[in-house]
Amino acid sequence: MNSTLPALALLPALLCSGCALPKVAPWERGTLAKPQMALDPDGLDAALKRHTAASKEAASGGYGVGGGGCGCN
Amino acid sequence: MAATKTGPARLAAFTAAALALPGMVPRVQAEGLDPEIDTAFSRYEESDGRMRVDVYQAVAASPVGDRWNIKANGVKDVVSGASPVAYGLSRGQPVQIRSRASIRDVRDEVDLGASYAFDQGTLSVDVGRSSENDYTSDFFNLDGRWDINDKLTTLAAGFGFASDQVWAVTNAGKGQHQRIPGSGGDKSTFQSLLGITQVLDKNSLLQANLTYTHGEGYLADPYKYALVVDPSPAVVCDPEYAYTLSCYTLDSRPSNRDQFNLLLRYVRDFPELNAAALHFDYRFYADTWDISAHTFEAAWHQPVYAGWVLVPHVRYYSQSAAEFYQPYFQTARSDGHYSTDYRMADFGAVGGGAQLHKEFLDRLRVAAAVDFYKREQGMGMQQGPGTALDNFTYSVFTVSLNLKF
Repeated sequence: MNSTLPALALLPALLCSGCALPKVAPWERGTLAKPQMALDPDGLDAALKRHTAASKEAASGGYGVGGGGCGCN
Repeated sequence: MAATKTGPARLAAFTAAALALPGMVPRVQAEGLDPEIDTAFSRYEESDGRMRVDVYQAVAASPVGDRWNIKANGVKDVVSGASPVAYGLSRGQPVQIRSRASIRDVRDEVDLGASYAFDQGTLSVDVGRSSENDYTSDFFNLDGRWDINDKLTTLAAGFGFASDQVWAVTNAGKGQHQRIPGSGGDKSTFQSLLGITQVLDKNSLLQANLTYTHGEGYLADPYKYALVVDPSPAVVCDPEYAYTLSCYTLDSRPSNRDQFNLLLRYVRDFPELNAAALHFDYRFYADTWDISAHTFEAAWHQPVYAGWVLVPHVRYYSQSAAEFYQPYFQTARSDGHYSTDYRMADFGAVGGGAQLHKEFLDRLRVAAAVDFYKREQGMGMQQGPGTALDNFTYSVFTVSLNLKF
């Protein structure tokens, strides 16, 4: 297994260490609630893209837990 | 057929991810999340007469009371075409051997999910089954999200289990298939996820996910063969014209595989650009077959005119080869593991495309999308074994409708 994995696993912690994130009040979250700000604004499209890529590549997963294997050619 | 462990249309996970977004969670409780139906048709087509797949997807979701949300999801893949089976040698050079253009398969997947929204998060469960004439998968997923820090931070934990059966069939004609006795086997897959989503400011957020997947059982491909020029001292293959069956062994891989992913996702709104949004994802993958991979994706959501939104996207992917992969093998391996599956090779891929969508009357959303993908030996960040014979391209055209009631 690639030795860079442990280092990369620490990345989120490093990104947030020392961060003083500003407070965002509920009434300031209108932008974050917009459809285009969802992590996957189009769930079907995202699912199809990931399924297709995973059937042609060795890497898969990362976005969530989910079963349903396939015999993709 | 290869055992790919990501399923299609796992809307439970994706819906839960969207709902976990700080600021999105109240949508379930306060607005009740109107009943809705999503449908999509996609045509996937590979270059050079390889695979073609027509994909039909449909999802129906509805709130039940104040806190429950249920959904049913169905997918049908209609597959036809040819697929690489092995490599031969012609005058010392590898040549690709494909199945005849006789692959005909239909995959049906159905899954049912339910989510419960409590004051500080959501819990989701999803069960389903996917079946083909040579593959079945039964799966079960649990997903929990917890909001903390005034809902500026969301923690996520997930667990998934899948029990699959894989075998090979022969085409008996008239759409009938016969199972090849002794081919394939069973496998089990366990998945786990830990994640955090953090609002960075009123215009941006960051998500980090760590996932670990353990697979065990039959993890090889019952349709693929590896050429071993010198399989044993007792069998001599002519390296110039190595087509005799005695030179080939069935694809064979370790019966265990541990996979790790680190996923970072960044979303930012640009109010000054008519509320355009940037999505950037980076995924690092590594497994115990010695494969590592990097995936970079970016999408730009640009409202253009009268509710029309254009979403161009790009993607780059790079992976290293499995330690038991070669286009063909000069010598026998002591562990007996061989694969010439192009998905186990070192390669890179670039992709891109665009989607155009518009919402009518706050109820009907229509979208059309095109997606292109180009796989190239030598385009990867690491230079390992592989062959340009495996290069191919594919395109995907999609139209979709979303209707809210």
